[in-house]
Amino acid sequence: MAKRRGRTATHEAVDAKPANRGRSRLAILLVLLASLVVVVWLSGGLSIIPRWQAKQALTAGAHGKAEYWLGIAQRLDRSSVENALLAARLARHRGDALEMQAQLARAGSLGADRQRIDREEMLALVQIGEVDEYESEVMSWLASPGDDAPEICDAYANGLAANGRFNDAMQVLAAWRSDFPDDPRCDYRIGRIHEHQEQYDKAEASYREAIAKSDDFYPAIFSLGRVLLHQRRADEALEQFGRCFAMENPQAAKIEAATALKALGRAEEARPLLKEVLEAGLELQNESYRSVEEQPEGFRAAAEYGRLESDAGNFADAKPWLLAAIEANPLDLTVRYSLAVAQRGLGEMDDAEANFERVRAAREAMGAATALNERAQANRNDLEARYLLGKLILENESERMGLYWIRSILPIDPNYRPAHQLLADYYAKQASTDPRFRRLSDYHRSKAESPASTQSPEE
Amino acid sequence: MAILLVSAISLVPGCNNDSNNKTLPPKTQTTTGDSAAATGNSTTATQSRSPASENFVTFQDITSQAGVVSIYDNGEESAERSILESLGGGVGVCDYDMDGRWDLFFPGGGEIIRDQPLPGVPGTLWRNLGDTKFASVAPVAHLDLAPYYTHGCAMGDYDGDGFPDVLVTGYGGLQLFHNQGDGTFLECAETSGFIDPTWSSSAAWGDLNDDGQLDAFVVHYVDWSWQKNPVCDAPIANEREVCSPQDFNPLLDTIFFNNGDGTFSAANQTVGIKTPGKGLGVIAVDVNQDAKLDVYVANDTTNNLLFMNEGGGKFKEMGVISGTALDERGVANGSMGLAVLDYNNDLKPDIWVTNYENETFALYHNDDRGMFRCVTQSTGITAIGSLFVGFGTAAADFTRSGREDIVVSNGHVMLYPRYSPIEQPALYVRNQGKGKLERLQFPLDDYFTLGHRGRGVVVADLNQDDKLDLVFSHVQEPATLLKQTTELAGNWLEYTLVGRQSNRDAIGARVVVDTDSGSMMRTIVGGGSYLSQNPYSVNFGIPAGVQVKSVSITWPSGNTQRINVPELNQRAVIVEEAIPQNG
Repeated sequence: MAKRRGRTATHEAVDAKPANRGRSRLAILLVLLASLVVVVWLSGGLSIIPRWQAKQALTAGAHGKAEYWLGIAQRLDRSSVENALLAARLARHRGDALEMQAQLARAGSLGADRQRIDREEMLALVQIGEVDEYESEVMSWLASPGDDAPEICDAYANGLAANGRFNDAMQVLAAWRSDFPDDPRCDYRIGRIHEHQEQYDKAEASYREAIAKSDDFYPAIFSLGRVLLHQRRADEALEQFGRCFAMENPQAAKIEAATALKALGRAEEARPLLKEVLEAGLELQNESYRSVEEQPEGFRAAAEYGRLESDAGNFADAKPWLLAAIEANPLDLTVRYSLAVAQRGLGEMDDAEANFERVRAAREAMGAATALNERAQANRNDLEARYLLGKLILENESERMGLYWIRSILPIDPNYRPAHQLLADYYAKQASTDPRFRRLSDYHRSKAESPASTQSPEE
Repeated sequence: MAILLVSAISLVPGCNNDSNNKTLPPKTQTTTGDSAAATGNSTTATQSRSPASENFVTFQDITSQAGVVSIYDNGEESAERSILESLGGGVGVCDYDMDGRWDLFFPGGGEIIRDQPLPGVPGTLWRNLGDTKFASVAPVAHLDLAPYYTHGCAMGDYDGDGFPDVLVTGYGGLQLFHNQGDGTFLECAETSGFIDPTWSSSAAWGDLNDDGQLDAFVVHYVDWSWQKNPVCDAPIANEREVCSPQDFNPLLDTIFFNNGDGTFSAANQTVGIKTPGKGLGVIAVDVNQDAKLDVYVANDTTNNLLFMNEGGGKFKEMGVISGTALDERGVANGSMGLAVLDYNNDLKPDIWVTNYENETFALYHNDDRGMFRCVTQSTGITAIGSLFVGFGTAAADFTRSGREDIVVSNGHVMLYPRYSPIEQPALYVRNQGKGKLERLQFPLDDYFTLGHRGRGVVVADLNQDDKLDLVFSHVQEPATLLKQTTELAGNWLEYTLVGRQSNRDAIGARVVVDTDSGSMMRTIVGGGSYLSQNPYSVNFGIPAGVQVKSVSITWPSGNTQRINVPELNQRAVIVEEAIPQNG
């Protein structure tokens, strides 16, 4: 018994040693872990994981989610250059140029490599179609892209497409897809090009491929809905926009779903959706569109709601929303027409006639667009047709499409003076909203005034 | 901290608002508007058939039984690919021999010979023998002349002798066939002043200067000639395509005012017809109910025009301000066919317009005083789809529902269309009431499912079985007669009006039937459909159980007439009661 006790005691003693050792080891481990955390904290490493999450969210177009994770990353490491650069990239994706500039400046003050700051700035310009000035650098980045290969490919392909260089864009996208076969963005971007070229069957197929690779890649789902709606397949479009209701900010999807419902004659179901979006406000609406890579020209929710009420003969309800929409985009002839109908219905005949006349005059002016488009399609080098078409659209219908046609001249003749002149004037007018535009204006002005610039036949 | 981090990785961020994850309300069953539906006999069309609409209305093809063989020849075998080929031909209904049965006339078309005047193909006239039998009588009736390439026809008793005369439109000149009352016609365009070498499409009769006599509004298409005949490429190498209207200049329309002595005087700019267009369809209807007949013109790719009658034969174009020139987006459509209906029974005439593909057909709701609102979306018309190239159209209460349904004849104009087939099914659009319209689906072998190169369509009870039948004209394809075979309940009323102070055909008259469940309005319209002529009669379906209280007529002269407790289920001829003129 005693022996047993002794053995027992021995055992207890032996057993006690590992327990003590275990506690000691645990204490050491905790100290080491705490030290590691402190070291990682001090080195900013703790922000890696939330930053990675933020990048993933940004890739998926989930800007709010990206902002959330980036916020955590920034709280964990307030002096991180990587966080500041990612914040700048997020701002670029959101179309917030001022914020992007501020974050890049912050990254610079934190010691960011100047080349990386320049790259972000240039990607922003390339993405909107200013490929001309930066193409050689983009090509050099693509030779050694690092982690940024998809980001560079995306911006470059988008910029090429914005210049009408669809074959070049397709080559970039093909290479991207070859290297990243599971990335839905390649198929999505290909779909956008097909859609722009009015090849809707191909666009639909590309969007569906993208969705097959990632069933919550909302830019593709939203675009599929848009293509279907354009083809008047409103019931199918409605299904896709409905899927987008799971987006973190589904305002854009709600607006387009309402549009589809209207097309199906279900205005009574469209009305509450639009009201929800209107209550959320313009900024949230635009943010939502940007998250699916749409640049809304105006206050679309107000436009759709106003048109719905005007169509229903509820002119008093329609008018304030239509006025808000027309203020946001004076070139929107569809809204102006609905406003004229509402004003006429309210007996405001002078205002109605003025707006009807503006629509008539703009449509009449746009009547020349078909012939110019045919000229441009028939002869790629008919720069005058491209210029006149771009100017016509810019002045009467859509800034975005007008700029597309003007920019499409420069890959053919980089020195075409009227195009540079027009772009210089356009960007000068926009400089107050985006400091990059001052630089662009100066660039195009210098090109226009260069002795090497070519004149239009009219000159 | 590490635990916190690991947890955070697996957590969904709280910024994702659950309230955003609402799903859409369940989709209600709608009839198809999909691309497959436009391809004619497609499986999709059948699969998407609305169960509620099945067998709602049925028709039987009786063309062979009736013995009618009429094929519009557009001359396309010449392979010139002239834009002339695209218009096709219409169909007209009138009782030319006054035997109480509706007869049919089909313009014949023509040949296309490069750099030469275009010879016509004789039209065909089909005398209704009763018992669903027709006899070809054009040669006997002297209606088989073919000096010009022809498209459309408009019937009207311009000399008030009780027999309908026939105006034929086309390229090279108009033909006016005066009905001599003995079963024969006499062509008299030149001696009557109907001289019009420009390209005419549709025409509408109506008293446009309030003198009690029928004038004619003739619509012109585009300025085509062999000297203005561009080559347009097809998407296939070395093939030509028919050019689009954008390649040509628009033309002014013309009014031929009736001088009262068998002659006419042409006018346009001097009476306010100053806006050129690319006209294909026309209706003469009093849109603002001021007892003056207005004219609405459907133009192809240019603004539709609404010529408001200011009295004394003067007009003011008010298309844009009236809301009828453009679609709901403020865009000019490729408009072709027209119908007048009162889709919501508010006793005001609304306008229905068929349009080109990738556009939707348009319904202009008459708000009042000649002001309209495009209600294409809110009525569900957009859901029909946009792949149809719509031409002739007609509105009528086929099923005695108390609401007018709409029929549309479709067919492409291009030889190599990009989005939809050349042969397209016709549409039957059911008026569901409460401002909603839906397309009905039909069995796979039905006329309304199979593809056609459709153009004109008219509505008339051909076999006098008290149900409204249909006649379709096509391009290079036999015309089709469809007998309605629906089992119908309820009652009906049909009136043919005879004007005395008003024009004899009573074009512009307004008839309102008051019942114990509301009122219904029809108006006698000049022109309409596409290159075609419907009968000048009004037909009302009276739903089962509904009691008719009275019928009131407002004549073009302004006279009014009332019939208390009318007899149901009969065709009645109502003669305008003469009111002594002041002074």
